[in-house]
Amino acid sequence: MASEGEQTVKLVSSDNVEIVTERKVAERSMLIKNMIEDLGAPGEEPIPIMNVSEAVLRKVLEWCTHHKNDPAPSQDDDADSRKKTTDIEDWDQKFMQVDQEMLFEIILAANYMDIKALLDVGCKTVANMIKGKSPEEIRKTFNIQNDFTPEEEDQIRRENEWAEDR
Amino acid sequence: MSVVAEDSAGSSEPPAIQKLIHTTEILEKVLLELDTKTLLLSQRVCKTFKEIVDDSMYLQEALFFRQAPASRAAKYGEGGVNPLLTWPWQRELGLKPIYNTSTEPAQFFAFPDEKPVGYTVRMGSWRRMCFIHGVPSDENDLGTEIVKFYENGAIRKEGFDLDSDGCVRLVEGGLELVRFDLMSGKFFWDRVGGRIVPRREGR
Repeated sequence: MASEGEQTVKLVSSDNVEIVTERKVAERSMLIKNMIEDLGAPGEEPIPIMNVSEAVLRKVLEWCTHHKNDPAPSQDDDADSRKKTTDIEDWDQKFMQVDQEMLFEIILAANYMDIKALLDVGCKTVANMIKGKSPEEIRKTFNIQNDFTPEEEDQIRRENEWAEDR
Repeated sequence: MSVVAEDSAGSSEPPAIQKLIHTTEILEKVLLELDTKTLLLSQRVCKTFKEIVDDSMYLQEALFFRQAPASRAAKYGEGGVNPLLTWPWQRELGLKPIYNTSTEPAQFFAFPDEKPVGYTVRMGSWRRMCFIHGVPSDENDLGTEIVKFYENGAIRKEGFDLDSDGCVRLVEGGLELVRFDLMSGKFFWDRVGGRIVPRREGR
C-alpha cells in the first residue's frame, strides 16, 4: 500500500485543466484535505477547484510543495499567532514577487482553498506595500476608485489630519 | 487550453483587487498588519476601507478606539501603547505610560520619580483614542469621556466631560487646575511641590 506521501491527487482548475500533484502537497489546503476525506478514494476522482485558474493553482501548489513539510497549522486563534509584518521568510518573499494581479489572485485562492499560512504571507506582503503610504498613494498603487464625495472625504481628512505629521 | 487573465483590460472579470477588498476577512487581515498611523489615515482610501474599520472589532482595537483585552493588547501599537498619543510633551514632562493590572484603571501616565498625576482617557472616536491597551474594560464605558487625574497614586478627580472647545478640565473651586486639549494633545498645568495648583493666567 502506498504511503500518504506517495499518493497523488488530481485537481481540476476553474479553466478545466487537470493537475496531478502529491497528496501531501495538496493537503496544505484544508479545503482539499476535507474533500479528500469526504471522497474517501484519493487519486481517482478529480477534485474541482472552482474559483482558481490553472496559472494561479500552479503557483499555489508551488508554495505548497515548498512548505509541504511545515508543521501542521496550529489551532490557536489569531490572538497569539500574529507575527510582525517583517517576518516573511526569504523564500516566501521571493515567491510573492509577482505582478499585482497574480499576488491578489494567490491571496484569494489561499482564502478559498483555506491555506492559512499562505494567506498570512500574502496579506503581509500587501500590507508592506501600503505601509507609510497616504490614501492617495494607496489608491494609485492598487487602482482603487475613490468613491467618497468631496465633502465626505474632507470630513474624514479633517478628523484625522492631526495624525499626519506624527 | 487555458485562459489566464494577465491583464484585466478587456476581461469581464472584475480586477482581483476589487474581489480582494470586498472579501471582508482578507481586507481586515491586511489592515491589521498595518502600523497605527497608516491604518488610521487609510480610512480615506474608499468607502470599503472606512466601513471595515467602523465594523471590525479588531481594527477598532488596533486603532485604540476600543480597549483590547490583555491577551491581545501587546500586539497593537507599540507593545500596547498608542504610538499616535506618545507626544513630545509627554517626553518633555518625563511621563511614562504605566500598566496597571489591578481592576482600577489605569492607562495613565506618571512621573518616574513620584506619582502625582496621571490620567485616563477612555473614549471611542479618533480624538478619543485610548492611550494604552490591556486594562479591563467596562463595555458601558465606551464612547463616554472619562478622564481621571491621579495625584500621589490616588484618583484626585474623575468623570469629566469633554468641553465644547475640545478640552478636558480639572476644575476645583471655580479654578482651572488642569486643562488637557485633546485636539493638540497639549496638557496645561502647574505643579508646586508635587501638588497640582491653580493655573496662572497666560499659560
